[in-house]
Amino acid sequence: MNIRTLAMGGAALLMFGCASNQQAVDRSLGQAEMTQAVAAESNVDATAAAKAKADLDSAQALAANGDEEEAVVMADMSTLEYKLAIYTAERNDMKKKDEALEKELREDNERKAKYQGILDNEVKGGK
Amino acid sequence: MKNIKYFAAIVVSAGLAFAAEGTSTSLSSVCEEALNSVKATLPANATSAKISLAEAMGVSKALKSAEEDDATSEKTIQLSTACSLYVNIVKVQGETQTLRNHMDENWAKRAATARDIESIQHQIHTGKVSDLKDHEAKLQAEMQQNQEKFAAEAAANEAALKAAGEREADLQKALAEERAKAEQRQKDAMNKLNELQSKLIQVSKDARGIILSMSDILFDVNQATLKADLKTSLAKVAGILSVYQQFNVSIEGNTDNTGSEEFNMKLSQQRADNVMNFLVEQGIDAGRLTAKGLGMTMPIADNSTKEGRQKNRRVDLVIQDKALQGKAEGAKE
Repeated sequence: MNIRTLAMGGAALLMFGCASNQQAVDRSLGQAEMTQAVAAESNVDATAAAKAKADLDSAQALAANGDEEEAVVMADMSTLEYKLAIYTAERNDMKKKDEALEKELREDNERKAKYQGILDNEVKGGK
Repeated sequence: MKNIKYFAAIVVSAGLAFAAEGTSTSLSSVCEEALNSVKATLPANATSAKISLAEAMGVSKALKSAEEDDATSEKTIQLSTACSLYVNIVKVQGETQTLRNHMDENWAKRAATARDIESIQHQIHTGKVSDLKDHEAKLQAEMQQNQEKFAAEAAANEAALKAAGEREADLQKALAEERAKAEQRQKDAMNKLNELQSKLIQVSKDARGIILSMSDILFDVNQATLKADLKTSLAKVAGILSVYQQFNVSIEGNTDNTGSEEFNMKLSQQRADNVMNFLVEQGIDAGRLTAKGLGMTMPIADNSTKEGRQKNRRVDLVIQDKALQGKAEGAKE
């Protein structure tokens, strides 16, 4: 499951707070669990992941107790927390890549300046 | 319990305040303002963030409705918390897209830089090749010039050598001809001088030329004065010399070994001088004549006998063609 699929699936949260039956509980829990799986594959912050997991555990406990409405709310909350953790990890990863690319670009420009110097001094200057 | 949860909701809304610049106090308005604020920072192509924002707007509306029903309800608090999470999600997604866009720009810049580097390297390469070609062309031109110069010099030297060779050959030929003529002249002169041959005048020929050896009897005893017979003979010699202008004459006075060396040297020099003066009187250019006294240094016979001493007392006229002088001197050496 990729992040784009995850984002599209978030539309289901528009139903936030409206579910009152087992179907809604299953959908919310299922989405939270799948998001958790995506988070497990990502380099997410451990503290944020722990909070999301605790909410998911609570949602599952509430669902088991028949407290469906609370279970849906808690599962949806867990999903949002996981998503935030996943997007943050993605942003941090992108930031590192951007910095690495920025460094490579600087090195390219240094090489360009070096060759330009050679061209100016050895070739044009030599004529 | 409700008051405690409401307090928690306020804390959550405080988390939204980072993006909300307004002064709203309701949770829904704080949520909406925070979402609008983060929306303003999104890049145009942040599609995922915009989808999340749309979801968040739905939550914001639900929050407003729940807040109107009961501002302190658990649902209100939960929706407020969800809104806070959405704000952060949208914000992070927007930042991610901004970074992605920045990377796209940097990739494009890298590609452009790579093309620039390739272009510069090409210019360096072609420039160096051009330099090398220019240098090579210059060297070739110099070599061509040098070759032409050397060829011209060689041709000039060859021509000069040839001309010198030709001149040398001409000179040698002319010299040989001149010598042949001189030999002939000397031979002719010899024939004429042979007429002077007598007991008192001996005519001979060697490498130095024609030798007229005149006895001292033709001089007064122990005197340098020329007797009449000698003058007659010398006049004939002068006649021959005037015909053969190419002849030079070396007059050499000689004595035997009787008497002092000084006396003999002086006497031989006086006799030679007198002969020379007589020839000059006869019209011979003095420049063609030399006179020297040799005393007793050049005997031609044994001084221990009377006959030998008689032979040694003499004046020699060494007659030589100018054209043969070099040859004779070379032979002498």
